[in-house]
Amino acid sequence: MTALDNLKDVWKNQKESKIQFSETDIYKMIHKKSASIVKLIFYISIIEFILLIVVPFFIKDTSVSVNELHIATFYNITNIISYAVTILFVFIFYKNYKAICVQDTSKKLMKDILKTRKTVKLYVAVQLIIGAVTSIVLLYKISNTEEFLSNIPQNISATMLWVMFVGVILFILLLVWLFYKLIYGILLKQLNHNYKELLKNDYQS
Amino acid sequence: MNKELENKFVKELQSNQGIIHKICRAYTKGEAQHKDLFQEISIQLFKAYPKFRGQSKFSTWMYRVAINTAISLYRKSKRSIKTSEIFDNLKELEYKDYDDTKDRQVTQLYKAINQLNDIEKALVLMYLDDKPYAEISKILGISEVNARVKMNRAKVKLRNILNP
Repeated sequence: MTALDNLKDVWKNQKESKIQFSETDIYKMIHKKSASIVKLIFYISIIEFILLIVVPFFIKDTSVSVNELHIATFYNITNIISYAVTILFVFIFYKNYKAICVQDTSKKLMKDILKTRKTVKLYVAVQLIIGAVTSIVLLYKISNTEEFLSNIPQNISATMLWVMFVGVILFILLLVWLFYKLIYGILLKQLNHNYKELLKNDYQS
Repeated sequence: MNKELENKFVKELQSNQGIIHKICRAYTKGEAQHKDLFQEISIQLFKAYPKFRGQSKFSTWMYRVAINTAISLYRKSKRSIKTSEIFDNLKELEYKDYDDTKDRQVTQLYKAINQLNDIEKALVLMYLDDKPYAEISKILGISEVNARVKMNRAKVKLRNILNP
């Protein structure tokens, strides 16, 4: 490795970078907004939380009322669970986000960033599952009402229709999952790669 | 942060900026990205400065934050890669004008480092800056044994790039 050791001299005696910043430049720089991955994940997560809280308010209005279907208790319980889950996740997410510190070791920093992301991912997954279960139960109930049964064409049975509903819901879930894979896949590809690279051969981790 | 502390920070960063420039040059392609990463590192340093208690030297602390920003927080945007290619070409022309052996060696070295992966870059930079293994393993958060294994591999890779 002597050839490489010689490079140390070249390295140490290199001229100063052509780019040099004055104190004024630095002063301006440090007052700009950070564009780091962590900031971006934070903003996207906030948007996700808000969307998942706000969107149900707009799509709640169905032609058949909850009371008519006799599922008021079920409906209220899922609502409470859904909000409790949101509050719990926002708390965990914020705690994880606050734990991210650039002064930590590279390993811990990467781990904390990925942990934050995982929390939000889990939150979205849980909310989607709650949403899917609620929709399936709701649709099942609707498909059993007389009003509904008298309106469907004769050659399609209520069960068949119900199976189709479930299929559509699962398909939507799959699309959402793919969408997430895409956004965060692109965003965190390099970080994931670096994290794996760093941990390779590290038996003490 | 109060004004006095902020002024102190700016002064220290300004006089130690060489360390960051080396890291920026190793991790980016071209001037636009270099400036972009420098700015992100400065912001991260500034945000962390109140927590810097002075147990280590300012430059050592700066090194850690800069490496972390380069390998974990910085996003290379597509737009700046395009601009940087133009800068890259300009730079090569500039270096030809110099025709200084030492400058050429440095340019070659950076070109070789640029071909390593992010973790290898961090290792090689710390090697060239003579950081002890204890410190390298502390900055990266891996065992000293693993740091040595990784370092040897990175050095072999660098040597192969330099002397194909």
